[in-house]
Amino acid sequence: MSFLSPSQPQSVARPSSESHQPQSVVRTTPSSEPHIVDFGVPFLGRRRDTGSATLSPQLQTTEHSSIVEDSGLAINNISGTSGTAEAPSLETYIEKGTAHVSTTAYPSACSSLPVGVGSRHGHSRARRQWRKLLYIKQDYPDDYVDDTFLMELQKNTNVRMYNYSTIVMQTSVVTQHISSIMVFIAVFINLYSSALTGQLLLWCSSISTVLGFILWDLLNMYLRTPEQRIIRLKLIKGAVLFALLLFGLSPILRTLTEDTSSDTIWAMTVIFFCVNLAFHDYSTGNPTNIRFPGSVSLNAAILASVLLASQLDQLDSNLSVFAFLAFALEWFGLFPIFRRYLKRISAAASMAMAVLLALIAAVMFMFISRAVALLHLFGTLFITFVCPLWLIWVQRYKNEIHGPWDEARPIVHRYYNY
Amino acid sequence: MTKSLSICMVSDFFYPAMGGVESHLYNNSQCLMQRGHKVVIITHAHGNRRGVRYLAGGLKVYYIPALIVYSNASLPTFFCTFPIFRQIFIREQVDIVHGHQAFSTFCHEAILHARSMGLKTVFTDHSLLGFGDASGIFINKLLKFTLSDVHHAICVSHTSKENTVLRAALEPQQVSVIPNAIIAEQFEPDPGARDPSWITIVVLSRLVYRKGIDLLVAAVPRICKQYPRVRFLIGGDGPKRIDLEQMREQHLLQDRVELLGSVKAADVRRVLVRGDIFLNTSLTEAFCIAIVEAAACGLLVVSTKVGGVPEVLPRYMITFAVPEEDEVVGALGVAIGRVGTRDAHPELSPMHFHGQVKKMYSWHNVAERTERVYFKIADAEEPPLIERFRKYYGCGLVAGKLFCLVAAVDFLIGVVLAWLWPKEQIEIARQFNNDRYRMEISNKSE
Repeated sequence: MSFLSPSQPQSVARPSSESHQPQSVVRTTPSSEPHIVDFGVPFLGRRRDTGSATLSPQLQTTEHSSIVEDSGLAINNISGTSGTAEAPSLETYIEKGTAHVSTTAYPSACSSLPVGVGSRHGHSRARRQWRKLLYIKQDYPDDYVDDTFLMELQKNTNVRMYNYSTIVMQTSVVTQHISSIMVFIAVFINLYSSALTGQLLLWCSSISTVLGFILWDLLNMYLRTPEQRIIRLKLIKGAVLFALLLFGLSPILRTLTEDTSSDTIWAMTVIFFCVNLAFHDYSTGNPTNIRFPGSVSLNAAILASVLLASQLDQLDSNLSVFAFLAFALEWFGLFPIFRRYLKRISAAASMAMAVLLALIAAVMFMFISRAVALLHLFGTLFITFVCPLWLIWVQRYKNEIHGPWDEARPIVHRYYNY
Repeated sequence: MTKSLSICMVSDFFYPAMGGVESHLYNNSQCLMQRGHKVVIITHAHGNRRGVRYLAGGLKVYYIPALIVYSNASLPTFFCTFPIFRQIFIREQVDIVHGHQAFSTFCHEAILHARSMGLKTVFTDHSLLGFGDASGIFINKLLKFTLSDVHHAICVSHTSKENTVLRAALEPQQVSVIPNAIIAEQFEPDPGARDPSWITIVVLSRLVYRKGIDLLVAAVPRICKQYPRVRFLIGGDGPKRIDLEQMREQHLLQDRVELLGSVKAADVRRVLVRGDIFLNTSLTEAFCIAIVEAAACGLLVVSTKVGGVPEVLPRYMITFAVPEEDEVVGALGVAIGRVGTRDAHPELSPMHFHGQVKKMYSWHNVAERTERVYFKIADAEEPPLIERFRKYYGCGLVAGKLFCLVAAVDFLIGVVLAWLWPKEQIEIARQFNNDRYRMEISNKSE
């Protein structure tokens, strides 16, 4: 559309029709709205004093008197031309040659236009400038398009210019998560093919969890989080309870999908891991609470793990199922929290973690499928180095439109606490 | 230009439902009929109200049975309404089909079918829509489809025009701005109704997020604390009412804040005249008829500066605030200060406000301007079918082809319908005898 192009001639400094007019009435406010003083702004400054702000003295003396005079004239003019006071038609004014007088508006809107003069010189003068108002009748057709049309249109006001190295660093959250899912799947495959025993997995995951817990505890001590002792006790109690519950449930979980074909399970697992990937909370960095999109992600991952666990069919499968599910909870519930802390502490550490996870995933998959391992490595490289470039490049196609029609966002300060 | 036209207004939103579109349709139709045109209205059946009804002045309304899906809009069926719309258009010898409101399915379908039948079409947009959210994107695409082949569009404010032109990719010359209006006689000030010992701030709106009730909730306790003589009168209902009640409890303002619940249209004036200041906190508004009604009742208006609101009233009647808590409180403070000065200045008196608003907005004026649009397009030449397809095709990479398909199928259905029920066999509706109606009415009143 041509009127959207930036080369659109903007209405600057139109020849003001007012300058041609014989100045028979002195105007004190040469604003675009000639009638009384603009009440909006000047009073805001002194609203606190009494609560009964008065009209400005300037207005009361000069302006006011001229308004009253003019309003008398203008009202006479209205009744003189149209005959009826109600809804005088636009044509009436045009025919009588007083079209430039915005008759129905507030009378003083024509304070600069002496009525008699207006009717005589009406045709020889440029039309009164169009104004973006509805309450005055204007000498323009309803479908008139002014040069100011779409002047308030703002394009791409919220566009951020990205810095390549920053985005590269920030991709670590995504690659970390993808790698962690890959590691998880690799662990399952090893367990499934009995290359890994449930006992070993249980030991490894428990030890790393305890280590992580101690780290987290030390960090909180360092940050002097209040009531650390109570939280610590609560957490340990919860962990023991959870482990016992899971241990008791694992025989049931093992036989949960006995009647379902393995193919169905694999397909569903893939879907749920995709959901996990899509809804994972990459952005907030909130280490404690898991809120809406994040909770969907966690649930999907746990569901996928339960489905996978029910496929484990080994000698000591009850222990395997327990070990696998405990690992799943730690891996999808606690490990992201650890990663968020890491990211908060240092971006470099987060990057190192991303590299480490990607390598672990690749090495584990080397023994399962070389193609997947390579795909994973290249995928990670693509996300880390090519996608940021891509993001910066597509910014040029950004076309965001804002204007006065947008729904405003109310700003409330909550001085009072509800 | 005294040609009489037959106009068919179509919208999902009509009486007995209440709202801005509904009253616009009714009042505009009445005034158009007074100007010698024939007007029929098509809307969906509202509960028991179905079939053909006559409203005051012989305004004929077709209530067509339809499934209502969401907030009073009917289920989009694309082609299913064609047979009945065609029958009505032919029966009533319609020249111009005038659809109202972008959310109305009936409006879109009627315009599509009317175009397939080669009738002239006008569309009026009553609200603003952003470009960011999903519903906006969907409605805008639909609007692009309908409006790409409409003869003329009407918007209620200049801001609304800019919005519509952007949304539907129209030529701005093809869009007219015709504001809403009020029946000023129904909003006469009544100086005796207000309580002189208080300064009363009136709020009348649906209590929903879009009306900025959060701002209201934040501003009321601050104003009450700052100005001990101020009280609030809040009319309307909605999900945000709980927030207001909570605020009232919290700050012990039961005697200062009166919640009226929903207010009937007939009682609006009775509430308004009790106040000194009218507060509107809307976050988006194409025209805002409420502030015009309030000004007509002689109230000073305080409003958020959103959408088309700055175009509606002159600055001496209204105080603006950006939608921010401090600003709203500040603007209310200004208005409270001005209440005391009103007696000294005749141009700030309620009666003067009323007289001015009466001159600014009247339905007769709206009807006259709408008529001008009708006359302008009435003689426009019908472009060939291929031209219509060209317009639809330009709507988008995928959507364009889809729209072409829909339009083509609709055209073919039109051909089939013309063969099934030839135009000549459809009975023409009898003209409403307006003179006799008037005579009967006057006889009855005697």
